[in-house]
Amino acid sequence: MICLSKHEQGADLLAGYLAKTLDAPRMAELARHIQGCSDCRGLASVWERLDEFAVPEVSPGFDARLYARIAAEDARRPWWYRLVWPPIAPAIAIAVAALILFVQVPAGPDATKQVNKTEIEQVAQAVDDLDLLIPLENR
Amino acid sequence: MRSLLIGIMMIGLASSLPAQNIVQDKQLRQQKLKQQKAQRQRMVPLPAPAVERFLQMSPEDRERALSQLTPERRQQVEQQLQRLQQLSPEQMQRLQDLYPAFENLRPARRLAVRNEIKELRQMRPIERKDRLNSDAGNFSPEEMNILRQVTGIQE
Repeated sequence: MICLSKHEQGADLLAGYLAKTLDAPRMAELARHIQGCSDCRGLASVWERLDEFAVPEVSPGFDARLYARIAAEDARRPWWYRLVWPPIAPAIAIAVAALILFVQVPAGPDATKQVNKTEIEQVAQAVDDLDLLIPLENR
Repeated sequence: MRSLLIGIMMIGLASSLPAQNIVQDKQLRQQKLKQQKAQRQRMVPLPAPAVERFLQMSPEDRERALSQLTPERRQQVEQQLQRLQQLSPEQMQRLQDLYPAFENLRPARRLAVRNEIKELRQMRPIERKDRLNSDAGNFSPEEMNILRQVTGIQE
């Protein structure tokens, strides 16, 4: 019996199941398993919901309300913020915060490594996709 | 006195040689980087910003980033990048049109299209045509368009 959460090709099988591209015996087998396995049922329903999720439309007058709120926020800014030249105020605030963090919590080498690893994995995935999309005639 | 002067001159000459080499090396490297940059500017940029950013990195940074992948994965990525960089501007332009459409698909659908392309790639052309015809029921028109463009099989 195939359990999607344990099978190493689980994600691929789930995608095939949802897209109904698997062969009939495998579709039937998975449907039976999903009925009885709460893990797989949860997994399938999450993906189905993701698929059905519709991005809500922006309500009318959203822009006007947003700009009014930004203007109100500006008026509520602290005194020190208004003292410094506004364009550089955020930079100063960030620099002070970074300085405090740097002094109190020196960043471990793993933190930057982790970010880089995530980035290179994203690059690798994008390269995979680009390579996959190269028309077959050009291969 | 004369031999002392000659000695000083020899030492001076010898010490300036490595410095000259360093300057030459630096100039060569800068020239090479300029050429690479010019070549990249002539190319149609890749539609994936993360990949384009990666290609803009210095060779050292790129090496550092790639070293975080497993050797097999790294080799695979390097081969794929090489293949992508060998595409003609027209082929790259087609990819420019195709990739955003693929990226805009929802995650589950992207996975399904990805798997379907992998399946289609394993097939013979005649099988692909049949498969594409039967796919029409399971994939949206946008997804079918991607599959058709990748396989080169039109309706």
